Amino acid sequence: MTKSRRISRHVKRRMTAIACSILVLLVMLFFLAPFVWMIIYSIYPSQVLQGGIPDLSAANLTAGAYARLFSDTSFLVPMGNSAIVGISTTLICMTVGSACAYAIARFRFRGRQTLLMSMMTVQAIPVIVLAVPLFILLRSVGLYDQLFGLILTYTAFILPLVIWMMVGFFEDLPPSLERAARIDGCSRFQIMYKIAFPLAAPGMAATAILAFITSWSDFFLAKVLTSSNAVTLPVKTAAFQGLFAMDYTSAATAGVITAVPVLILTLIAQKWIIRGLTEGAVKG
Amino acid sequence: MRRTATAPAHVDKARKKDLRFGLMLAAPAVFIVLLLLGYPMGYAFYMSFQQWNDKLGMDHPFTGLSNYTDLISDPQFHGAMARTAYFSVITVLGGVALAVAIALLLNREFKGRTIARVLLLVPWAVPPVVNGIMWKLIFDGTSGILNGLLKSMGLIKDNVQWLADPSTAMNILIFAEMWKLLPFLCLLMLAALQGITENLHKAASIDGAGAWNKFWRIILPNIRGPLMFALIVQSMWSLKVFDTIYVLTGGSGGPAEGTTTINFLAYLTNFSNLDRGYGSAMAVTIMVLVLLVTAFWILLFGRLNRSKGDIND
Amino acid sequence: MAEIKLINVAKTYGKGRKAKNAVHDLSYTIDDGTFVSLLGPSGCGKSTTLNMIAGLEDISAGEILIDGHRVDDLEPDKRDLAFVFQDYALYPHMSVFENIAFGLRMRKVPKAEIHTRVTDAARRLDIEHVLSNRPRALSGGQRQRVALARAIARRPAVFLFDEPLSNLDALLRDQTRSELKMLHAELGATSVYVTHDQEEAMTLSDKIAVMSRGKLEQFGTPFEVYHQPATEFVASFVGKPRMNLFTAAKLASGHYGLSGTHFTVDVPAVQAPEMRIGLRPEECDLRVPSSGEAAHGTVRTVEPLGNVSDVILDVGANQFLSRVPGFGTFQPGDEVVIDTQRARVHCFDIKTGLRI
Repeated sequence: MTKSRRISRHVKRRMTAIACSILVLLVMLFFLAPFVWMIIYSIYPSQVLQGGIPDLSAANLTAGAYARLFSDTSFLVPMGNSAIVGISTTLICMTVGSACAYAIARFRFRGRQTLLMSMMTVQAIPVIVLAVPLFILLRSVGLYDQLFGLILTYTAFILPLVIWMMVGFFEDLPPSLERAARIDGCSRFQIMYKIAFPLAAPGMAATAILAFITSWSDFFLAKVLTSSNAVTLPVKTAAFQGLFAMDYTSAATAGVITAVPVLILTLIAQKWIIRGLTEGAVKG
Repeated sequence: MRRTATAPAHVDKARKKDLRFGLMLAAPAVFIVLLLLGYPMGYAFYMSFQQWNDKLGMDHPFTGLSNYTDLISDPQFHGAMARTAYFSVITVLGGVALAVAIALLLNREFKGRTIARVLLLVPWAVPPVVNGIMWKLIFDGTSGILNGLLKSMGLIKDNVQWLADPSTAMNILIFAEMWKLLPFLCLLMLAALQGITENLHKAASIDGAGAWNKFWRIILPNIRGPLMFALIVQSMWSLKVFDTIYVLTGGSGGPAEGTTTINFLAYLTNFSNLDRGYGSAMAVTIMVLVLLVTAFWILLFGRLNRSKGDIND
Repeated sequence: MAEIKLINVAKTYGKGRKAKNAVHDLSYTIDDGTFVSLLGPSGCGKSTTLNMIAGLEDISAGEILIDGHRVDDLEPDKRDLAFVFQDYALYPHMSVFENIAFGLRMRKVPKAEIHTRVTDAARRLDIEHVLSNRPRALSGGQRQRVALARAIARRPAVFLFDEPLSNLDALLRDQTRSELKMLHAELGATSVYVTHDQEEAMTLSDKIAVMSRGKLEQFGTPFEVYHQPATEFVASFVGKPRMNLFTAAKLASGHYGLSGTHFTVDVPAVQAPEMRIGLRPEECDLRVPSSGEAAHGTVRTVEPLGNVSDVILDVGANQFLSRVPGFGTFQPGDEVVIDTQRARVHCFDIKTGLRI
């Protein structure tokens, strides 16, 4: 009697564990399969893939689509644009944003709480509200379809995010270190860039990566604020599929090329990104 | 206050210097944000009170609230609102509920838990445009894998044009968006679940709470804060969904406006019809909607908190 | 009421080569109504044992009986026991009343009965005035009382405590300890109490199970554990200040000495060439060597505590502690003789550590 009950309890638990593992596998499959399918699409000729179960043997592999895109200036230019815009935006955001975040975290000036809260609220504004005025504004100063116009716009949109994250990282630093530095004769500015910034370096790196990802991935603003000269990679990638016809292999390849830098950066900074993304919610 | 009053003069000076330094550091960021976010936002309000159509001409007569009153009677806008409501209710409520379920699953002890969590970041990181392309490769009527699979399994005979039917297209859009948004919500809920100490679970076991009671009476009340955050953030995103629609429907919001949400309609009005005054009124309406939904969640959770009969919080 | 019997209980984590034994082969019986402490340093398996009794962890081998019934296949809530956690594990989203009532509600106790039991438990622990508060609003001491009240209100056959006092400050800890003892006397339920604090174990327990590295070192009354430590580990772990332990070599039959010194101890009826000898500091007196007598050691420091003083000696390469009354008369550098006349000499096998 007791024997059988004991077995049933263990069996039950074992069954739950197995069922859960299967569910986890299914969930992971759901999250990964579409992306893997896109990669497959980019490295096999489309005739192989269409209809029924595709033959994915190595003999069918081809890098043709990649070769084609990487020798096509109409693809390389947007890619370069995205890189230039992404890196510039990130650099400006990190310089201006870290300074502001440090001020909010360390100096109790009036309105600092308001400033922090407004940085949070600003992120809630739908981009569509700002798109038209920005379009008109940039056009009137000759920055429409210019990389610099895009950089400025992205900086404004990403700054609040950078400030919000960096305030968290700076507040986590022990203030005693900075006090010690002050006693050792550092000026306020030296304390910031010799003590606080290096200590917050991992957080800064993660924030920078997030800033770059946001800028690199944006489609809407780039679509609205550029037409030919300053087109970015997502806009170009989206253009591979027209209303009626679509070059699937090129679209898939462009998709992989657009996604890969972001994925690599994300995986590098995964620990910090997870922390940065979830901290605000769990704390607040 | 009193401390400042009695502090020696040099301390006061040092504090003033501190403040000046702080303001100096904050100023550039504040300037950029005000110039490029604050000013355009005010400008959007301003435009929404004007008849401003770049197709019609260069003058923009002030028309008061007429853009807004037009919205109220615009059947196209009504349709977009209905679709947005459908899309948002499913992605917000369904998304958060699914995220809690998946988080509970991933919170169990199993081999590869860390890897699973890192892999969750893949859909999160995939740029929205790429997300659209990815699903197009699957759902496309002529060469998508789904038709191929279903045919080889004998479930369908002829290709189904998934994206050609308005309601199917909308559901595919929801599916594609879920793929992209779930991981973030999952990570959020996972972090929330990990905030519940192991001893609390043990105490509940000893107290005789089964899985059902444990979930509803212990776990859920203890992740209320993050839950509210997830609902708010997802509501904001759902109301401004754009990129996936654009790519899935070839920039049309079709078929037959089947995927034209208010955000997409505002885009089309502004940048296809060049009706910038009316489009701005739509955009402002979306923002008001975002505020209202956020306020709704905050009030709802505030009430939940109070109804627990707690006087000391 | 309940008697708890552990039979060859073992716990292994992991599988195959990576398997780690957390608890080996525990067998003892906790009599009905007694208060038993599981004492040992952190990582000795005492908390694991408690969790296994509670059913919060599976046992890998052996069986656990409560009142003769095998419980290791029962869920924790079917074992009729209450658990007091180190961090109290109060439900943060419930009022104190609901915290205490939750276990009763889950067991479908009638509403009126719940009310009586909760108020009764709250009265006993003097927390009636905070019943409508949330745990967050309470002090550490109050939270601790709520945790106790939650256990009491259940009226279980067995109380399990996992270091319940270790998060309190020293003063509150002593006070709560006495109250816990009175509470046990009142309720008379079988209690198992995990602690690393020997003072708690000694003051509260009818019996103590001393554990080390997953093994049971000794199961006995506080008197036995203190005066007849079963192993060298128990001797060194129980008692404050620590027992002096050193390796002594046989000089003559029944006569052992610490090599390199003149310090010797008489131990009748032991024949091993070498063994470990233990002497409690408070049983060793010090005196100035009489003329012609060789000193045993030199005073290094004196640590006065008021009523007693601890004198630390260098005896050869070893350190030796003696606790003397008052402030003592010794200065650092004094040569002294250790007088073991009134001391119990504890002898342990040098290899096995077992008491000889």
